[in-house]
Amino acid sequence: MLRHTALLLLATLAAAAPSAQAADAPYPTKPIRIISPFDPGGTSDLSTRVIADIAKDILKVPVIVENRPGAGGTVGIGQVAKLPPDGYTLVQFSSSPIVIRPLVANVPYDPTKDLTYVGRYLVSHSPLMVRADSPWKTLAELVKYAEANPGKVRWAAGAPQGAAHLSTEALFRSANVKTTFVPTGGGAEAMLQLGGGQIEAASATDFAGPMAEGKVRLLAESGPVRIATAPNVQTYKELGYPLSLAVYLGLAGPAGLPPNVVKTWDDTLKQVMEHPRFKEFLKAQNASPYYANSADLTRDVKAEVGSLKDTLQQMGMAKK
Amino acid sequence: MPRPAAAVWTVQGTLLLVAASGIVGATSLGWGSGDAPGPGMFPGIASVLLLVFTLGGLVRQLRSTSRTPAPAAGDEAGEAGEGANPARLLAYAAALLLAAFTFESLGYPLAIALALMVMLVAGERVRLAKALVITLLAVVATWGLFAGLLDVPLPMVPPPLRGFF
Amino acid sequence: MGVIDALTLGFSVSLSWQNLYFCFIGVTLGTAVGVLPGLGPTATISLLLPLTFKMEPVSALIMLAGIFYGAMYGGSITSILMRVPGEAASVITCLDGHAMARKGRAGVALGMSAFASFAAGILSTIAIAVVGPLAAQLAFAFGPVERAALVLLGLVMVTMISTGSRANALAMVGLGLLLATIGADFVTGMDRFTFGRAELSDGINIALLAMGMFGLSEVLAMADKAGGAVRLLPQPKRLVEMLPNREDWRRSALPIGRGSAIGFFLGILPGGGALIASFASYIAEKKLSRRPQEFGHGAIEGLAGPEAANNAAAQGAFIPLLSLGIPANAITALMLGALMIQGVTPGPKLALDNPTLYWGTITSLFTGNLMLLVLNLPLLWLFVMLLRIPQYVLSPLIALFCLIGAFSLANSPLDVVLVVLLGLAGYALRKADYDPAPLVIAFVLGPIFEKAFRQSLLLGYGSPRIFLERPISATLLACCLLMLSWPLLRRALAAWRARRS
Repeated sequence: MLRHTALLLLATLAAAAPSAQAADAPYPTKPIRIISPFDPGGTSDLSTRVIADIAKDILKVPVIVENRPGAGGTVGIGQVAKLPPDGYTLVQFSSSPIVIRPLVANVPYDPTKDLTYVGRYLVSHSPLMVRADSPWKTLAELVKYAEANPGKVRWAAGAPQGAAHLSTEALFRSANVKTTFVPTGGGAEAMLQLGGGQIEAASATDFAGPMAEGKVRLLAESGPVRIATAPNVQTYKELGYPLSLAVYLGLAGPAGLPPNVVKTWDDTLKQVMEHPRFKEFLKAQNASPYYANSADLTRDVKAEVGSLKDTLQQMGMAKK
Repeated sequence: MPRPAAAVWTVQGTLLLVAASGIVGATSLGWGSGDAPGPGMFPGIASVLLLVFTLGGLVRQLRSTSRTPAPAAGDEAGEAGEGANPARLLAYAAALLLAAFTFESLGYPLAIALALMVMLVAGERVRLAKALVITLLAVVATWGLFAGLLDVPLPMVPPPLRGFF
Repeated sequence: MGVIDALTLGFSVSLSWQNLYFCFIGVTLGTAVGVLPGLGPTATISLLLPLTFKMEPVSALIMLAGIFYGAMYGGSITSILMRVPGEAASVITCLDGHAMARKGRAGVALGMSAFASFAAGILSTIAIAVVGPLAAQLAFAFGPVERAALVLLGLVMVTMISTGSRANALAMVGLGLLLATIGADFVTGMDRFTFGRAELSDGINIALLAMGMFGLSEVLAMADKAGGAVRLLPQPKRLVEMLPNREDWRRSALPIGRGSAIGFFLGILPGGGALIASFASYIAEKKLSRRPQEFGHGAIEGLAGPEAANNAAAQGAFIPLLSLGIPANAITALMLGALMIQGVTPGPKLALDNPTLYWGTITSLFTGNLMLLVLNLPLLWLFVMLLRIPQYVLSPLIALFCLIGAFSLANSPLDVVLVVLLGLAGYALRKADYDPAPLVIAFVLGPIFEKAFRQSLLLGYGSPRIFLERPISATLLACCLLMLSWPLLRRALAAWRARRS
């Protein structure tokens, strides 16, 4: 740790004025900082640490992870968006503060203008589950029950106003059934309530343990990618419902990141995707690889922001 | 009790003000109903609690002041002698505010050094040379501990120079 | 597998040289960062996380656990010596711990704090071994409805920890609850009292409040005292004065036992935690004591009980973590992350599938606590020596540490401003005879109650009847009612007795 900071200081002293960093300057020549805009310990934060640990051997410079948590990731992303685009400070992001939060809350950046998207690497799964001893075998049966008993289906999702919440809410609204959403502090709490029989259904990323023990039944996946360990579970979209929002993770920098920086990180991310430790990490987190390069990711983000806005307005879920 | 009483009135007045604005804020957030509390219900209840019991304290004090005009100030165990050094208190408060509001704009070493100098020279009447030595040692030691050993990303320099980092 | 077999297996793991080494690193580091305000165990564990990627899962967990409870003890040191609680759980330690230090009994307070933590550690290790996986089921039975009722009981009792007047304490409860509502409303996502600052939408960090209201306001109170180079606190001269005497032991034994039980039980419950445990223990001791007037002025029971409780709660939190994969707080969440990276999925089967990991970790809590005690007793001398630093140097240094500590919580400059404002506010409140302790406790309990209460109403389809339909919550609510009407009841009882005799 001391070594990193000493290097950082030396490199700073040695560096010339910021303007000397031309677009074709060699990169990287000094330690790189990745801001993790979430609390330490979650999938987002841990993935950043795994990537930093692998990337430091590929790039041959220290890669330091710093937490700037706050407001669902928007504080950290907002801070990085304002920094000079020199490639020495990147930010790890999840799709929620990029695609969803700007539509439901005020955020200190424009996701389509203020960031350079470097790459995407992971998608997590958040299937809709019921208890294994419940009478509902399929999503259709649960919806039918909800139709006959308005408001009686109580359900929770990982985070209020998160991808799983919005997708599932859109599902019920499009089926014209009334349900009761119970906000929780996170997936673990949602699973605890499902296990305790306080709610009927939950959509959360913490499904692997209970699934392995046969405690829960997976009805459908709220995201767009099927789960590797439960390949028969269809996604909401596949079942004909309007939204299957993905919770994916990626890296970004301030707008105007030099092309050689983007290229360097794209190559690094490709190597990370193939690294055995990263693959192990995906398995442990019940997540799937979800690679996209800078150009594809930028296009995807723009498309998602646009279409989600339309869908939410149609469903009457957009912020007034 | 001339001076402590003034302080008490000010604090109670501020508390009442906070409570009142809490109630106004809660109302604009929406109280909701007992079956379905809105976002304003809990801030509202808290503000009412604050309002009622600050008023309660106020009334009790008014009564006791009229009955016993001059109770000895600050005679509680361990609190003896408090309120005897307003100059030093002012120096500390000013130093803390100075450090807080320049922490980012001047960078941590400079902000902290300034605050320490104010506390030591203006507050504690330490000789300038001695204060400088203590300040230097404190800044270097905390830098080594927090930034060096523990990797806390403290702001080191003013933002215009921060492109390097 | 019987308890004896399990413990034998566990100790064979935790007593290996390698794991003893990691345990030692954990508790030493933990104590060190616990002493630094703000930084705390969460930041330390996240710094060390990449290191654990290459370690054996059990060694990793043993080291991280060591940091966790080492930091708990470290936080007590600054609370006792300087009235700076590095984290919320140490707020209660400040009350009587620092009062003891003011009377020249800093060494005794530190020693008793170390011993109470140690004893609680031993008791809860045994409890985990005996009831462990079964106790995990309690977490399922304890839903939002029960939690709301439990926390309401806590709120009813808050005013009892205050030394000042009842009305002032209740006003502070109101202020604490109000401050706690700053941030995004968790049901609707609406910002409440954030003044347009995104940093505030997660609310004010409890450590900021604790450092401002206790640490900085204490610095200001010191500055306002007469005299130039007065010493901060009286110091013991001889070693004997630094150790608890027979009377201290006698008075502390039962509080430690009760504190351990309370802490262990509350630690198991998700969303309970160390602060509620130490607070509950403090109330219990004050109620049971024959000398309640001494509380807040250096009663050793008010230190020993809560210290035992917060350590027992820290260990109780391992049950939901290992048996259900449910973290009770940010620190155990990080440990869960470390385990997941290693490919270990905690759950009901962990004790059967991976007994070396499960029992190795549990028994390491025992060895780690022993290590902490052995490590810290010789260091008492050194800690008490800190008080020899002249006050004109120590006061500015404490202020400095609070500022940096505030920044390091979320690496946010706004937090530095907030801690200073809270410090000034805290000093003003003290001046006007408002006790900050009920404020801090209410600040912690408020959001838990609001969340659980609103969840419960949703679970009950909008009807508050659900609180009466579930037996645990109905019982707890009856206790609340009893507490509130106790003064009336007591008067009625006295009148009835007087008439009879």
